[in-house]
Amino acid sequence: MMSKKVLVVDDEEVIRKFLRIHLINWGYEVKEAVDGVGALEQLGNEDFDFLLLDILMPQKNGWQVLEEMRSNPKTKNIPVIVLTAKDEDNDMFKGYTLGANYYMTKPFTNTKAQLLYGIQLMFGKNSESVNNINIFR
Amino acid sequence: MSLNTISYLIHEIKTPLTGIIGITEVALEEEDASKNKSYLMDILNCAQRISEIVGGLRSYSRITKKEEQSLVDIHKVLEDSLEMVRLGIKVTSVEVIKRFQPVEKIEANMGEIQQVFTNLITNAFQAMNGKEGRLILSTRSLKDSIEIKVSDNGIGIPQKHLNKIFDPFFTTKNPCEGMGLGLNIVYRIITKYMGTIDAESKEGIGTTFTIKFPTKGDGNGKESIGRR
Repeated sequence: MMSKKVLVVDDEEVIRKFLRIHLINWGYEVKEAVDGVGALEQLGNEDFDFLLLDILMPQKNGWQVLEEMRSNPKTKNIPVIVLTAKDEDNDMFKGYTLGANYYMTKPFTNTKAQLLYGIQLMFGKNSESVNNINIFR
Repeated sequence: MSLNTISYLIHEIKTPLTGIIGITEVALEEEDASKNKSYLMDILNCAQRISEIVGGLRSYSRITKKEEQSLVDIHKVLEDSLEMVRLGIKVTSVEVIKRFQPVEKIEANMGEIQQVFTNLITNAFQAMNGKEGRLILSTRSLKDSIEIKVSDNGIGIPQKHLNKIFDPFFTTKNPCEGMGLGLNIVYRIITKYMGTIDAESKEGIGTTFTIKFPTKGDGNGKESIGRR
C-alpha cells in the first residue's frame, strides 16, 4: 500500500516536529512548509492527501492558502485540518466557510486523539487512512 | 494596552505553549531515551520564549509607574549602557567612537534612561553583526534641549519599515530573537520625559537615532521633532 502524503504547514519548527513524529509513526509520508507561499508552491508541484494548516504565518496566511486551494481545481478537494490559536467562534466559522474540514485550536492537548478525530471526519472511520493509526502506541 | 495587543500577546504565548505540550506528549511516549535531550531542548526553548514575553511585558508596564527621579549624567549612562551591552553580546570587531560635548544633566529615572541606550546600542550591535562595525555615540547641547545620537554602519532599516519601528510588537527579527518591544519601550520612555526620537536609515549604510531631551524651562512638547 502506498503511504498517504500529508503537508504540514506551520511557521513554528517545534510544532511541525511533534506533528511530523505522530504522522510518521502512523505511516504517513510528511512534507513541510513554513509559510503560505511555500505551501502553495508544494501544492502546485506534488499531490497531497491532506493538509495541516496554521493560520497566522508570514508571507501568505492560512486563510489565503485555503481560499486559493478551494478556487484551484487541482487542490479544491484536498481535506484541510486548520491548526490555529484563533479560537473564537467567528474564527472557526470563517475557517469552515472557507472550506476547512476540521479545526484544532492551539494549544491543543491530547494531540493524537484530536488528529485522529479530524482524520476520521475527513476520510471516514473505516478508511485506509485511519486503519493504520494506533493512538495508544 | 489595546484589545488587539492583548490578542496578539495571547497568540504569542499560545504558540510556544503548544510546542511545550506537543513535545511533552511525544517525550512521554518515547521509548528511546537518547531522544529525550532533543525534546527537552525544544521544551526549554519554548519556555524561554514565554519567559521573554513576560519579561518584555514587565519592562513595558514599569514605564507607566512613577519611579524615583534624579539628575542624570547622560555621558555616564551612555558609558554604562555600552559596557552592559558589550558584556552581554561579546562583540569584538566594533569600533566605538565617542563624540561627547558638555551637556546638561536631565531629571529622570536613571534606570529608564539606561534602558533607552541599552536597547538602542543592542540594536546597533545586532545590525552590525558579522561585519567590521562602527558605533558613534555623540552628544551636544542645543538651545532648549540636549541631543544624543546613536549611529551604526549596520544593515540599515528598509524605508517601508521606518515609520513602524516604534510600534509595539513590530519586529523583523526571528520570533526567538525578540518580540518587537525594544524600540517601543525606548519611544515610551523618551516621550515620558517630553523628549523626541527620530530615526534615519539607509539599507546597507546604517542607522542613526537622534534623541532630544528638553532642558530647563522647556518640555511642553509643542515643537515637533521626529516622532512623538
